[in-house]
Amino acid sequence: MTEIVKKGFLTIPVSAKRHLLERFGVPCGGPADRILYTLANRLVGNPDDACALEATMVLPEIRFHEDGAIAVAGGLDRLLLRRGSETVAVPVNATVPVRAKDVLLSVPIVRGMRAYLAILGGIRCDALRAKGVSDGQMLLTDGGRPSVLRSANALPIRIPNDEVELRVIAGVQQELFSKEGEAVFYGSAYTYTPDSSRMGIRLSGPAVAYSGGCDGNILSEGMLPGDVQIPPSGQPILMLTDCPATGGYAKIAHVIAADLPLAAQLRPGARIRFRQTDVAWAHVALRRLLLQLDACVTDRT
Amino acid sequence: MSGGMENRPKLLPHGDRAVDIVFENRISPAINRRVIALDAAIRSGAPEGIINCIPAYRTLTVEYDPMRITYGQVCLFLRGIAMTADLPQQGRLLRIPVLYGGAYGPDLETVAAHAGLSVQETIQRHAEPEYHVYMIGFLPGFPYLGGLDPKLACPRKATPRLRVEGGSVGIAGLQTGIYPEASPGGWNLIGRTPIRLFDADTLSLLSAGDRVKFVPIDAETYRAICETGVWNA
Repeated sequence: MTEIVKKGFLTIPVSAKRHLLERFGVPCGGPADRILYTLANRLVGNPDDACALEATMVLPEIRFHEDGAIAVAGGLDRLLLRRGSETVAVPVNATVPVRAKDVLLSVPIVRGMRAYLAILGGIRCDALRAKGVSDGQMLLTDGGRPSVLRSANALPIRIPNDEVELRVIAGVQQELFSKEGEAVFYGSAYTYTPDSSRMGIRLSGPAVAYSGGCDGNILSEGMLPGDVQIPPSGQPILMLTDCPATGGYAKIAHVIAADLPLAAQLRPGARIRFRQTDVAWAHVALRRLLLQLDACVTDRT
Repeated sequence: MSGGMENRPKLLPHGDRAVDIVFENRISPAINRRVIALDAAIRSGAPEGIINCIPAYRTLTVEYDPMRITYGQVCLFLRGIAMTADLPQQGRLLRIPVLYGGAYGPDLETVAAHAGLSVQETIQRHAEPEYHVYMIGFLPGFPYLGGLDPKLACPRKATPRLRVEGGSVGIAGLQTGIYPEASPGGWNLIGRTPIRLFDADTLSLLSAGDRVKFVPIDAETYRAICETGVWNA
């Protein structure tokens, strides 16, 4: 058992296991940043798709009820662990053995939006419709001894500060936008507004115009994280992992899988530009990112 | 039956990990049945790396893992199957009990007045057709139904309700649908069903391609279904 003492801002148990229920209208869900989530699991020796905690802006305060190990992957400099009457600094992006009664203290995430906390053995959770945890909630965990201690020498993604360029594939409804609308979309920097969530990032900036006769509505069709919809306001919405499984606004572009983790690490106020690439280059970029993820973990002796 | 050249679907890359199979841009049960046929064909025998499909009105979004299959292989497979997929058997027919009017259908009289019909005629016309489930989306288990009597078409409410209860049956424009769970909504509510359209155990009652018929019930039957959970759909 692992106890959430304070939930922080928003802490959600997430798993990359797929439910495949999008056909019944269930959002995909799972970690917003799949790379740091996977890293946290690997650092603690879990399977890549084990259930871990996604913390937003700040880590939760957690009390462990059994000996075990954790790893936090994210933009922090160190973690604070209270053991008895002492508080010690322990490393981030590394395996951290913990003892029963240890308390991981809440500290802010200093770079990026989300950090991932994996617990040895994983958390038993129903990932179908994950909800944020609450203060005092007990998580089902097993404890155990880590077979090896690992650390990441560098993060596989460069956590963006306040400006980022995201690569996209031309949208399935690209022809519903005017030439000027397209030029505005690719030529402008858009600001991440506070009215955003794991469903999507609402952007504000120069409005993107449809071509003549189009009002932005389409017959509803499948929607995926990474899709960039343009509602009638002309202000883009970049869909994230909790987006509805279907949508009815025209999509001008799709952020590639390799760049979605960057989008998930941006904070309100960040500026986003979009640059077109093609499917072949997108897959090269994804392979490279996954190789970086493989390469960044080393066993400590 | 395979589609001729003139109505062969298009393939479009939907980002870098899905391909959309796109049919003619209109709402038609015949087109939608081809989507559902392809969905069934892909699910019964897809190469390793094709992960998931999302059927919609006239598109099938096919998700793949680019680290296990290439974009070219996905397109090759989809082009082949799009030529050969058989039209499906007629979908299942499910009967959905509805208590029309009263507190559960506060807009029934508005819809009736808009149509120039009596309340009884309105209920009759809504329960008459066999509706086609085009797709499930918007909320878990929410069916997009086609086949509403055009006479019953009624514009959305100017001010959406902050809370529409789960099970509510509504009309918006030419669409009719059922809210699977409580949510804000602007549809005209004409009744409510006591059966659940979505829960974590049984998942979605309805699937794309199913047929739906509404069965008017009285308050006593509604209560009995709520209490026993028994209804032979």
